[in-house]
Amino acid sequence: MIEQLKKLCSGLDVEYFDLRYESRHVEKVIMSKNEIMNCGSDTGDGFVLRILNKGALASVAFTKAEQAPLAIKKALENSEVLLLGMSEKKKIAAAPVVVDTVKAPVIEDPRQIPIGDKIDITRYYSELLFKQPKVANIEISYADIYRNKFFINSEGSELNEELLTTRLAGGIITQEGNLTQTVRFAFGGSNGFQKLRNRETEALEKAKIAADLLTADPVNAGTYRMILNPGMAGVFTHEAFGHFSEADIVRDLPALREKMKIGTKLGSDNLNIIDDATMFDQLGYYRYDDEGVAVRKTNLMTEGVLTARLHDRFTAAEMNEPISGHAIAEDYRYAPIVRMGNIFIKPDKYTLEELLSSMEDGLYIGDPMGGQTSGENFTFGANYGYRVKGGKIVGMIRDINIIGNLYKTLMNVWMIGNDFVLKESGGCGKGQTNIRSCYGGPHVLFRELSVGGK
Amino acid sequence: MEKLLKIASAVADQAEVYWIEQSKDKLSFTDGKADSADTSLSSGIALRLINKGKMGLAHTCNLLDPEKLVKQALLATENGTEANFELPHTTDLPVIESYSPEIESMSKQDLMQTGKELLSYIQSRVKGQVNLGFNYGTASSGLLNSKGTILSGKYSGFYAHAELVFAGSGSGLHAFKAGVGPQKLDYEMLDEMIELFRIAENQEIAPTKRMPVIFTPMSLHALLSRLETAINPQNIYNQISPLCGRLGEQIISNKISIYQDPHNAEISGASSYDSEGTPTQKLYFFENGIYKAYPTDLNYAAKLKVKPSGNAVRGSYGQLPAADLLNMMVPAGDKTLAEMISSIDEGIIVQSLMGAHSGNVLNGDFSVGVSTGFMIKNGKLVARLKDTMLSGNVYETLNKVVALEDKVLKMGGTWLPSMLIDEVSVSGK
Repeated sequence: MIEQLKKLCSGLDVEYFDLRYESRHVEKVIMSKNEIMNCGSDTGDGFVLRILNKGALASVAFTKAEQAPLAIKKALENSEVLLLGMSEKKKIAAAPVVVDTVKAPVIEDPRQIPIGDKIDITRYYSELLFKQPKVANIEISYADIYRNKFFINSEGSELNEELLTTRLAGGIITQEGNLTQTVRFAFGGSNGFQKLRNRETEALEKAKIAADLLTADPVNAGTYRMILNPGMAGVFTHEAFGHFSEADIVRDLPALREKMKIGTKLGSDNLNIIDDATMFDQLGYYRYDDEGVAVRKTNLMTEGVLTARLHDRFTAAEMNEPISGHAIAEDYRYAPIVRMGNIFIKPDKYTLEELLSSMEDGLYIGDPMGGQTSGENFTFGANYGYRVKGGKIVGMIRDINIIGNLYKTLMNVWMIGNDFVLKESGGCGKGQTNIRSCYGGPHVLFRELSVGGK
Repeated sequence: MEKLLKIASAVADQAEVYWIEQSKDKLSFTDGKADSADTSLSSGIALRLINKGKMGLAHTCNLLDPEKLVKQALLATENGTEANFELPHTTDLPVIESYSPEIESMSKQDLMQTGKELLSYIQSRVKGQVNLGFNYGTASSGLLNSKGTILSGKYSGFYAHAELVFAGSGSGLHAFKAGVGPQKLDYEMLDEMIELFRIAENQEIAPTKRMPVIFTPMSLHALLSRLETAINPQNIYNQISPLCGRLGEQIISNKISIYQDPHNAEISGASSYDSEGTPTQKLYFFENGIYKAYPTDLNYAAKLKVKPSGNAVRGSYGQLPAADLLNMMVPAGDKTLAEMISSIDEGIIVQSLMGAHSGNVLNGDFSVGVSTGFMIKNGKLVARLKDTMLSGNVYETLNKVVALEDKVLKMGGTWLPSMLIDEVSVSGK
């Protein structure tokens, strides 16, 4: 394949180019009410060409090899148009030339498992959960996604990397009268099918939460001391802070550049935030990004001070900062953009009990359910939570939407737990969907956060 | 394509081939500078088979080996969804052209020039970050099935967008136009955006209480999407929708009707047939607040024992068709936006919301942050809102509609007026 890619680009004479070819095979089982809604496999493939011509960067995606000459022509045209409206020429940061082949790091390979077994495990969890009290429906889906990526660039890099994602995810819908509640769960990751086995206890816990939510009290709007569980703390880290660590977002919002200057003190002294896609065993694992740069562990915030950000080769050159290997494309239809790999708050030393007793009165917030940021302001839904009085959990709450300001909230981090949980199924949308975007962290206690309510 | 259908029809009870060829182009400006010009060329073919009462789908970008695709689809039927329906035999449909040949011959050079003119117009009037974008494309698609249906069509679309970003934040004000053919952002729209941008220099937190709220078309979706979920036939079949068994009942204010009109060629994607080949229809889901119909595809029409409404939509060629609204329209009311604003002593107007997908959507609950909105006092916009949330339940909120704007904003297939709603729960931090 590498040879074919080289042939397609032969004669292309520009400052820099790269060409990616990728095939993606998905096998999936979707069930609702214990009935198969969709089951089967599909394969897609395609090419993405990027060229840097006289300082203008243009890309063309195409699906057939015979379209390569047309794609090259379109890319050149696009770059010529850009030259009419650009003020600064784009530069590409230096990166090592690499020739490498990376196989997916798999323990139990889903590609070796017959579809029948995949249906069985999906049905098993579906039926198990469906039997639980108050459950009106179980929406559940299994998928394994195998991507085989080939990459060449004009500097001589030649790469082939496989990524294999496995997941079983769903929603438990409970009902009483006109009221319905939904609780989501997801098991999976980057290293195989074994992640889906023996997870009954966790699944049943979620079903119990879904049933309990029917009689939980809607939360009262207001400002509280708040503990976020690892899932929710992870969403905060990813959505509110992480996206502002992505160099393309900072570049495109000049008003933020001042605020997000490296060396600025933005958080409390105990706050350390890291992106580490090199950690083995987690959902976001990869070796090379879609510009052929090896990903590295990046300390984004150290003791409350902004110390680095996530880059592709173009943003690194523009801001004169180190490359980090975070240029990621959803699949063969897209040119890469800057993405997080695996972002989290570094755990500290406190147990959950210590966090609860330090908080005394406040809210303990459970798993995330949707969220959005708008500039420095964020809104995150939470599936469930608890009222805490005198350090003790006293009652369940629902209809929780946390609203806050990034900068105030970073300064309001009070105590950080000693536990560490990463999410097992991703889906970060930033124009493209990144199903391997991983985040999580420890329990985190905040001095002040607000919830909306009725 | 015909060959593929022939091979497939020989081995399965029913077969359907869907194909699409697309070309998309984009030119965008960030912070006043051209920063990307991209092209995407794609194609896809999907084969859906129904065999022994079960359905399976297989698809490919390149039809190199038809026999292999048939084999894959047949394999998918073995563990497939139950399918107790017949594919339609559809002929003699009126031709609806949601297509403008001008899109085919667009010049990016000309758009670059237009972009520069828009930029200088905005930049000469207001200081702030300006982003612009033009997206356009064409598609050809078609459908063949073993009942003898052969359909095909051409589509095009154009989307122009301008944004003024508030200093120190990622939120801002938007002006956009979308349609089947080339669109121009007119200066009136830009002037409106510029004027609001000036007011936005003042910021205020809304008081916590119930007050009138004007939802502009761009923020209204946060409310209407909850109704869309409630009338999804899968949620009706599974009896988890709050609207189960309530056809014919008054659900929301009699001022609101919600319908689709796929035969209107001005609508992006308008077509006389849906993605399974069923003829489409103009259909009221809510008429003067009364719940009249839900959309169905062949599968859920059969399960619910009703006639299919022609509402099958394919998210992409690789996905099975599923029922959804073909487009969403709310007829205009009788008040101008200025009249609505001047009728409010204390209230807010919201342009965009965040967190619209969170919360208990199925139940109709919403709890959303205002990312762009303004405080109204004594009939005038006085400041931009910060740290403000709205919450409630659509079945309560949409019964408190006071007025609808006398014109609709046409956003591709979604045509909505602004809506003034009383007693919305607002909380400021």
